[in-house]
Amino acid sequence: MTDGLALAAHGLGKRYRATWALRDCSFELPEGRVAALVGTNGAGKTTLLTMIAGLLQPTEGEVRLPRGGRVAFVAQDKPLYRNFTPLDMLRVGAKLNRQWDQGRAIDWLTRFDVPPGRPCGKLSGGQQAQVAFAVAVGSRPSLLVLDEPLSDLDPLARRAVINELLTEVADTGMTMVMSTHVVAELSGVADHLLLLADGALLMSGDVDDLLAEHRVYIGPRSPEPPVPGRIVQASHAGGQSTFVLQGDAPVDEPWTVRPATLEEVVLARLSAGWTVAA
Amino acid sequence: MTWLTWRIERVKVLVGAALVLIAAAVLLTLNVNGPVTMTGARVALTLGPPAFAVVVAVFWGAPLVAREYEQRTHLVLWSQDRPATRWLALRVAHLLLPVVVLMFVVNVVARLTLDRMRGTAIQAMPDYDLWLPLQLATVIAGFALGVLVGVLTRNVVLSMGITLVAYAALRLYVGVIARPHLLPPLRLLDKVRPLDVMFVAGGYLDRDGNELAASAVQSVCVGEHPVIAAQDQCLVAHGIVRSFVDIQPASRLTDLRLVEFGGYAVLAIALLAAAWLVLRRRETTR
Amino acid sequence: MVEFRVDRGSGLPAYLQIAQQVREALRLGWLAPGDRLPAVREVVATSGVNPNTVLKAYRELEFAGLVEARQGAGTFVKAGLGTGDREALGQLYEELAGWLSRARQAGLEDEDVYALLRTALDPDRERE
Repeated sequence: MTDGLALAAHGLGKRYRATWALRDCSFELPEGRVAALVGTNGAGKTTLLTMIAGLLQPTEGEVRLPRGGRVAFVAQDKPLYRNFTPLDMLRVGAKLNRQWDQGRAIDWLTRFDVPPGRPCGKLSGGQQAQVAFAVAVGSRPSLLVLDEPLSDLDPLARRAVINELLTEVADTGMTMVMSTHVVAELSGVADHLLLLADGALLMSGDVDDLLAEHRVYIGPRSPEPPVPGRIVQASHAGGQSTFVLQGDAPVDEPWTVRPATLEEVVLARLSAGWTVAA
Repeated sequence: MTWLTWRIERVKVLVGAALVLIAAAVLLTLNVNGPVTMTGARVALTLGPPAFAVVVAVFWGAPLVAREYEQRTHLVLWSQDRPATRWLALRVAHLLLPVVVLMFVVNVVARLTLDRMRGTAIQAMPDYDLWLPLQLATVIAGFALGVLVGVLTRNVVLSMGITLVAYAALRLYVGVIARPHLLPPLRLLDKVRPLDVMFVAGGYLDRDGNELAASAVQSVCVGEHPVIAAQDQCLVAHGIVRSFVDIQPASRLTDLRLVEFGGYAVLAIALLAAAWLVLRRRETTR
Repeated sequence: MVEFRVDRGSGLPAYLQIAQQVREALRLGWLAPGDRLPAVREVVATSGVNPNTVLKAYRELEFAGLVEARQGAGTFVKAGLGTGDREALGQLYEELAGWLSRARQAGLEDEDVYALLRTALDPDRERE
């Protein structure tokens, strides 16, 4: 394994009976990155994440971690022992891990007002999610894998959880991979993007690079964009045409150009269904 | 048992212990002199230990892994530093401790009760099943069966049902059908079946030494000839020259038990190894 | 102390937004040479951006010669921005504030103010 990588996948694939949930998935993730795994429902996000977490045996290929790399995984439904209290769940984490930081885990519960002594089955969905996060954070992983971490949370808590997770990244230097379908929330949060569609990895790359190489051109209706460049998406409505292009050539009136948002790039790529040569 | 196993399994362990202790208290205070209570004690001694083994197999073994899958807490347990196979080995080891202790209690209580029954005038009962090593092997095999079925089905109710049926069938088959054949039986010719031995089979032989089932022969001769001497003549007329009894003599008790113990022990180890292998294949990528 | 705001709907990468806000703060005199930029952890905690993004913004500013990282102490402003002198800046700000309140009284909205400002900055445009 190359130095400085937190995770590498080589030709990873998983087949359930006759159908491939994921196939030929290869990428590398440098240490300290915050990667967003984006894809439509059924694209294979959970399959990929559970294989990274070591909970699912790949049919082909392999997941590689650096020596001594430790993964923590939080499943989408945040499973807990219903009759355990949050403190009991932290003790589970303490018992099952070589490293454990009780202070961090307790801080997380306190930060989100989770009653530490009430059985998890009697907590709200949001509070249960916080218990699952506290266990994951307390285990001091080198790689934190989160499957749709924000799905049970209200918008305010989503922001707060993201802030806390990013603070953990800043504090511990851990790497994070999270799946989501809310692309709008990723800007400024994720610095690496993994894009999945129909069990295939469409792209893996740096978010800033991706944003830097895409522009949105808007102008009078036209079959062709005003400047050369690879068309990622073209749409025409009324008298107006909009092109998402890979390229940043300047353009004359009446055309206007502006940077593409991450959401525009992701949606354009997903609908175009590009595959990136490995 | 460690804290985690205790925290998860404590209700089951406490209920199991309570059931054993209640049964023990009832049996030990029972007056075994009367015919009714004597019958009760016989039933308790015959069915009690197997019932305990069934409870362990169905309620302790089957849900062990199946419940974790069903609650999806396996995702929590096995994504920590300790891999699924090691978790399984530890959890099984932890739970085997109360299984062994409670089985020991059951065994002691059964033996005490049996001794008290032998002290009375009424005929006692054979104690083949009350040998501690054999009881431990049977209960652990049941537990192991439950664990494997739970690993395979990943469903609590289904695994409990399959374990119940499969384990009950196994115990009945071994106890009733297979047991007399665990060693080649001893054949007695033209003798009355002795008491105090394990009966395997009995019947008649023709001149060439072929076996004839007693029931078939007797329906021909006994019905038509009420006088015994005439019956014998009838038998000879049908070509039957000798009678035989296949038995396991009392001296073989230890050997038979050892063979049965070995079978259950090997089965228990094989079942646990299978559960371990399935889990390793399915869950562990590194 | 500056606090960064990252507009998630913008196509401008977050690290550029942060770098831009530092430049603005330098230009307006909110940050002066010798001042310490907020620690990465503080920025992450307050504005919910990725620590790598903050680091990247600070590196960008370092390349531009505006700040310097001092081992173990943090990142400090090295040079100021803005060519006008400080006192004139303060006076101009007050005049602008007064002008803005007159514009509000005249019923101008933000968009109108921006349009006026753009026109004033780019006289060629006015002639077209």
